[in-house]
Amino acid sequence: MADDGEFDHFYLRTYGRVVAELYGVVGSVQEAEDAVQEAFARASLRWQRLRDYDHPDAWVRRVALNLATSSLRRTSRKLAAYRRVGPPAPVPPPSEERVMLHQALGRLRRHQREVLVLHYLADLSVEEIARVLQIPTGTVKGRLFRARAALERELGGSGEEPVPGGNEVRHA
Amino acid sequence: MRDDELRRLFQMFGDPVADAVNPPTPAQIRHRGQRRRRRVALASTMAVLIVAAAGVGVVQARNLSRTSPTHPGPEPAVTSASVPLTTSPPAPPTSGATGQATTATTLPLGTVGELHAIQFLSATQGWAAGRGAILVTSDGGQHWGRQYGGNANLLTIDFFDARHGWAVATDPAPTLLGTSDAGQHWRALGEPSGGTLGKVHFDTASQGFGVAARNSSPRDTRLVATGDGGATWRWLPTPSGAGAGTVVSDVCFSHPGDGWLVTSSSTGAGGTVWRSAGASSGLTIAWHRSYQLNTGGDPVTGAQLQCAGPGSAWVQVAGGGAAGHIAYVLLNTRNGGTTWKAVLVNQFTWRLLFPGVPDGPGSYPGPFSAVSPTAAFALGSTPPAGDLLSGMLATAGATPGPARKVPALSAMRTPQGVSFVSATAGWVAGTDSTGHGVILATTDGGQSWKAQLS
Repeated sequence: MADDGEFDHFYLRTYGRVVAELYGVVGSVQEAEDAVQEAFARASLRWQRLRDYDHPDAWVRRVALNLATSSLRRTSRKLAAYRRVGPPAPVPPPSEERVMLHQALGRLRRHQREVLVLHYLADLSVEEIARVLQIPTGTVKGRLFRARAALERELGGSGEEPVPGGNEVRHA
Repeated sequence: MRDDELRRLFQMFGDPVADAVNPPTPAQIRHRGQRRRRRVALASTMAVLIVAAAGVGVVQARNLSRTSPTHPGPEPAVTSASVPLTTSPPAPPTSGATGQATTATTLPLGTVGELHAIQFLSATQGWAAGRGAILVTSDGGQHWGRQYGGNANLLTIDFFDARHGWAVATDPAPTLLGTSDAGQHWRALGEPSGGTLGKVHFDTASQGFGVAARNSSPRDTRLVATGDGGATWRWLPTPSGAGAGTVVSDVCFSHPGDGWLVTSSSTGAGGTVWRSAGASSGLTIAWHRSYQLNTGGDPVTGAQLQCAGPGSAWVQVAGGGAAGHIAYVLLNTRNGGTTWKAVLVNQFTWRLLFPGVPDGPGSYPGPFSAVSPTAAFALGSTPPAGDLLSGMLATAGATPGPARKVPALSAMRTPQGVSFVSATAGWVAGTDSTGHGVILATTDGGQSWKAQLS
């Protein structure tokens, strides 16, 4: 029961933040909530092990991202999400900046949204992002550089074009 | 746009969502988890029942074809197409000498192709693995049965105890199989994201480590770990101070916290043995350098590692080739890595690095089996002499036994497997010149061998 209390605390403390992050990646609160709830449901089954992790939220984030990955499953998930989660939570009217960022993120590639959200919203370091996405830190740096430039272009800023050939760096 | 501006923008984007969502109660989430567990269990049960029914059908059909006087055709070979991943329902357990053997094989042995790995936990209980096969015995190899007949070409097998085992294949697809019932049922487990497992080693029934090739590149192998029996894997950092381009070759643990890791540099010279540094946090291991092999510029091409009890390990490091030889050295420690002793070496190649150390068996290195902190049985081959395979008992602190021929195995079809449970009792698995699997057993430390599986 003590485990339940610990899990409950972890879940309630982390849920909203992970939903917000996933929302930044998938662009739908319902889809984000459904994937995050499923990730926490799975985490509840493994809590004995996850509780010993340095960052159990990284596990939940990774599983939620995986669950939201398959574009083939997204349509059916939208329907299932609506059934399970219900209508979207009432969110305050969006500010102009928020709408712009939402639209700009929607025009980026998925892996670019992932690194931007994990870095600027989840506040993860490059090394932490590499662990969550299970890719080399060099790749994270490359993606972050390109994603940031792409986002600035979408937002109408002066994002520099990435240097040809200077893209995703792979570790030897 | 500055970093802090972007961060503020993202916070403005995410905060309202985080604040507005109305999470289900924790009880609802746990209930959802329980529902999922029941669904998965039901699906697994249904799958096992369906596969088992198919397996019974296959076995019955084979029995019929063997006994029918009007259909005296040859005994059908077991092929990947006809044999399910899991065996049919377990037969009543048979007791081995250890009292915990639970082998109940229901698949016919059929034709056995290449064998690559073998592991005995006792003088009676053992498994062998190869192309489309996991074989099991509970009487020291007098009788072998088949537990798996899929299409995976299994290269390694690792049993933590008499019930929990894992087998790794890299072709035709990366595959990790696992069992928790002594091999009566094998199920497919996970692979690291973006990588291919090459070998695994478990120090508990659920916690294990492995070596995986990143993007399937043999020159980029790294350490991975699992805490759930192999269902999921995560990449672990290479030891700090190992340098860029470090290739992880092998890992083993005598028990949690008592582990070893061997790495080499992808740029060539040098190999390093690392020792786990005391307590670890979950699967995060702190390593410190225990032994550095400086080869003076010669390349290090691979290494094998085996734990041999608390604070004891054996390491075989292989180097480059020259004039029909491949350099290798077998090293041993019995004091937690404080000192290392070279026990065997290929004197043709690395005699200057290890003067006076006894010559190993064969001009090419082969697999070895740690028997105890002070003894290991090493195999080696000599391609210029018709792929002669020979083996010898290496003893730390004493003169090793003479290299003796291991008959009837083709050394070209590597890797062979070797497993010794004492200084006298051991088994070697491999392939004969016709491509059939062979298991040889010795009870006198490798002086004489008797073929099994025939």
